[in-house]
Amino acid sequence: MNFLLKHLPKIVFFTAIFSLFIGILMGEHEMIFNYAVVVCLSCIGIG
Amino acid sequence: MTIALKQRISQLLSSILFNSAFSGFITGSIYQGKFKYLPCPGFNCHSCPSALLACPIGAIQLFVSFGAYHVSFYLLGFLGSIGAVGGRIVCGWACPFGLMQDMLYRIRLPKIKVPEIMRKMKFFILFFVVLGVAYYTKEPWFCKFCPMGTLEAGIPLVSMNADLLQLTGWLFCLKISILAGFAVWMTVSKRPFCQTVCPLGAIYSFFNKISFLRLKVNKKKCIKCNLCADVCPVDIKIYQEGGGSANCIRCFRCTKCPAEAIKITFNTTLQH
Repeated sequence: MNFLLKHLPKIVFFTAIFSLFIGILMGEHEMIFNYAVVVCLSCIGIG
Repeated sequence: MTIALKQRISQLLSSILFNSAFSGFITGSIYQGKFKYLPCPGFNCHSCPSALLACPIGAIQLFVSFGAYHVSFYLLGFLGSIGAVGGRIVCGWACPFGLMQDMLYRIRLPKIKVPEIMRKMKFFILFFVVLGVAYYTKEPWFCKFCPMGTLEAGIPLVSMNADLLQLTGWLFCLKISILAGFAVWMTVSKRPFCQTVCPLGAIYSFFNKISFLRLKVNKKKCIKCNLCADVCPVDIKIYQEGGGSANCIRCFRCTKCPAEAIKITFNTTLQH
């Protein structure tokens, strides 16, 4: 337990990097791209 | 060069970098190139005509509403890796909205502190509005009230497109009022949006205690001169709250401590 606590920053960092690659493999960046290239009507205040 | 000046330059360069598709302001449309695959590390609306990157909060709401498993590993990994290295460092050094708040606070007016209880509100907004309400209603409710969206997207796009102007109604007026309210608050309080509302800051704040880059406060050396609290852009007393405070935006201005009680550390392990 102490070992896990001591190395928590590294565990969190490498989990985040792993999660990032999983997300890319799942094609999530495509979904973000398709969302971000269209004007968000809620942001403008008309939808 | 002082830390404050370095921070200001970094904030300015980041704001320009995140909004460097300037041609959008001529065409009246938004950038649609490949950089939009990336989320913006700071709080920046992707519907701004010059925005280069995607808004992370808007994208989180998109995945919560319509994602196959309602969570984005890509966004978790992106924001998590930044948070794991520097905690809320983006808030202090690279957020365009943070820069705007810092600038407005320089206006010479009587100043008031943000009440302590209101600092917890950003977690409520993250879990209730950004995650909860978006999940149940399938609508990006945070964006509907976001003052950054009004400033960067609403005002420029509506003023450049007559068709959009005709579609404006009560929501646009409400958004303008919210932006105006925050703008006034920013002149009298230090970073009120970061302290009370910002869901992106709330996400990064979870990493403040365990990030590689941390602030170490030596309470034995502290002479309680309050200089750190005076220079702090979010009004925290780091000698009381500690270096891992969720409210600390890692600007490092407090490291100019006369008693040398506050130090920047970079450590990949937690010491007990």
